Amino acid sequence: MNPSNVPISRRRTLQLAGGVAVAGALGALPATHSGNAMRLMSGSTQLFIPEPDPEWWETSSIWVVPGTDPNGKKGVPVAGQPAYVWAEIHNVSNVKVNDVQVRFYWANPAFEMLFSTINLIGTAHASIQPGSSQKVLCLVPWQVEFANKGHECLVVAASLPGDPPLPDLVDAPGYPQVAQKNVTVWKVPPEEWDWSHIILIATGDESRTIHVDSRIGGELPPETLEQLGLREVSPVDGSVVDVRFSLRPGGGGEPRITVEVPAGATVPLYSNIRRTQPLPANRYQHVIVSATHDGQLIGGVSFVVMAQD
Amino acid sequence: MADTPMTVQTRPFAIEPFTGVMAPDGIFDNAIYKQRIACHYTNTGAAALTNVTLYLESVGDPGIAPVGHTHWFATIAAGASVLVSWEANFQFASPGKPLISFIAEADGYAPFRTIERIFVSETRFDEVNDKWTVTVPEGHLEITNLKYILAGENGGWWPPPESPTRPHGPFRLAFPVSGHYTWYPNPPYPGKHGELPFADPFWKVLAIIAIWAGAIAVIKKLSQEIEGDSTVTAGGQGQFEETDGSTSCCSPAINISASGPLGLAVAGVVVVAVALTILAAWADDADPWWRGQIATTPAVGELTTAEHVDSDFQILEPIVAGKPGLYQVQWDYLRQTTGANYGFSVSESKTNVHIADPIVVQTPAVVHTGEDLWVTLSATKADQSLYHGPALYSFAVFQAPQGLCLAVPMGDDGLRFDSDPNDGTYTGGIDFSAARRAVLAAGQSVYGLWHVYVFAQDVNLAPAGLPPEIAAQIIGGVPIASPIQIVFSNAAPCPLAAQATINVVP
Repeated sequence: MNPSNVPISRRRTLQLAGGVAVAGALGALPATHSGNAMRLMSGSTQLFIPEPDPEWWETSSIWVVPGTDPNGKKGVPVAGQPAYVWAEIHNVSNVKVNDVQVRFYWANPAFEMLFSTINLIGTAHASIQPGSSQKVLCLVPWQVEFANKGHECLVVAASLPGDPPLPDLVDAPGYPQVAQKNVTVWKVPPEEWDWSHIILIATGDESRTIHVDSRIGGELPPETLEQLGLREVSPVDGSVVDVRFSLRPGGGGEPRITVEVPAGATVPLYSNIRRTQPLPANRYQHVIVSATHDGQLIGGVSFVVMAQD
Repeated sequence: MADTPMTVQTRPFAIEPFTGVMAPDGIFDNAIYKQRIACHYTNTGAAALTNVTLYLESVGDPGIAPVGHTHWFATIAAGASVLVSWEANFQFASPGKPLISFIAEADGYAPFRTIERIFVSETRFDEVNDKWTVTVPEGHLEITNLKYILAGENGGWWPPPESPTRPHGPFRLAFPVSGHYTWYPNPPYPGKHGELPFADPFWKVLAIIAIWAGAIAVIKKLSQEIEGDSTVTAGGQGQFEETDGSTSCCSPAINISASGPLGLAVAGVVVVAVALTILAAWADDADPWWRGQIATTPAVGELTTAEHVDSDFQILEPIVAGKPGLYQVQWDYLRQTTGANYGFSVSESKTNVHIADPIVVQTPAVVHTGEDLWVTLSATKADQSLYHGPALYSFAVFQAPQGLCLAVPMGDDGLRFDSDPNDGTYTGGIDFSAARRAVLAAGQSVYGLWHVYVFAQDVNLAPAGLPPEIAAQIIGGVPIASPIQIVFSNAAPCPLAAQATINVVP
């Protein structure tokens, strides 16, 4: 499914057309940037990190193993403890690629991020057979900090030695070798507002008008849930939460919000969630918070809302 | 699909790339910026593997920067161990035991990951206080009051100071035979025994690392090849305190700086031997700290805050790789606690236990145009078995008739010139066309008498999971074959003799 207001990225074209020859053709095309126009970016023609569409930030190609054993069980990172980050990288070409460099980052959740300001965890290398994938481990332990109530984002970027440099903007839809994971388990107390902040940025010389909205409901793939340490859970029927947005913490706010972000500025936006109905222990509510600018989806954050113990 | 049956079975080790030698016990030190991360990768399957790729995936210290490289082998025989290595920068490494992962893949198999640990220390030299410090997570070792046996006044291991290209003066070979060593545990500990460095080697290995790192730094600085590639500076620039001067050690028989790979390898092996005299004197199985801890018992409630060792030893026989030698050792241990101090002293004779006898080096006596130049090494251990497979790190230097030197790896891996893996014969070689190209490029002739010099160091094969005090007794990186001997005579040069020759004829 490709929403009509979403430009067709190179990543999306790869997914639709099945990759190899198209990747090669696309690689030869120049980069263009234009709101609703087809947006083909230069970059690696061989590396691909799968992401769902349009919620690319819900990728299951990045996951965390909390604790001191990198081969341990997948789960959510625990503040104050180390964790190891993994990523699955695909080679969509018809030749083997050697010495792929994979960089792993963590960040405070934001609809858009810059490589220069997010936090590098470490790097790894990979060699991948044609048409195959490799699970890559970053052995530098991620020293998980308690930031933003534990809601943090992961970014992975893969590159080959001859690839052109990536732009500073983390552009997962435009660059198939970049992926972002912004899915958090959020345990919400009953009947109280709880909040989490998301960063809005405006790079460059122009201010931005960003529209933020939410979508409640739906289901996450079992693999994504397993990566969050959730097993034998299912989505709740209907909507059991109220989602609001505000420019100050503390709850309440509006169901959708438009924020003017001055040029070069960062503005914190608060997502406020309150449970309106009981939520059984083995059920979850899928909440997607997304942002658009000039009609173009620029990013999102997803929550797996569950009842607080 | 089954996992590729290739694994790294023992701790990866450090190779110093300038000299080509293994660091003592394979330990990395961040005083030496560029080091190679090496390991033996073993085919643990029952059949040969084809189209094998091996690469270093990740290191658990962001301060260690490996260069991505994928090794490829057309085939690896069942049971064979191949030596692979990667260049890495340790300038910003932290002392510790970071994890390191490798991936192996062969035709018909899925990629398989091996995770091991490497040991990283931090050595620094305080020029003001003339003090070495080696830091690891378990504490730090300070070394002061070192006294040396020096090379004779007329000999140095580099051109004389008046040379315009060597303003730092000669590198005088110096054997530390006396010194004060203090271990400061972090944290102070109760009871008899504290934590071993890295939970593995005895504390003496840290002293060895300090001396090794200092000597390597001096070699690099004097060579002016790698400016600023080390934080360790002094210690080798004529500022040694000598023993009573009645004994001097030999001077090199070759011009180190002009001999390319041979000179550097000789210098590297010699500094390893210098550092490892401490190992021989203090013994593999238990060092002065361990023995001192056994012999002294602090009172209940006392914490050990420092452990001092004053040591003095005499080198009674020439130092020859693979030979026992003889050392007369006196050391005094003092345990300093939050309560009382406790002492223990030892005076004894010791020998090197890293024995190889006999060592057999063979080459073809005559090689004709188009035939390969090769060399084999076999070395017998004290228990009469042969070193084989991953037990040795070895390389050879082929010196052409007019002096050009070519260094080649040697392996017992069934690859290239080696016929069978694990048969106890380490082989290295150069094909004729490559040799000819190299010597012609240097304006030399390939015909004439080639000299072959073989170097080998043993590898620490302690398997993971051994109790620390057992693992600590296994130490690697000791030279067991070398073309140079170290004698203690002011008049004599250090004997340097090729172990074999090859006459290349048309």
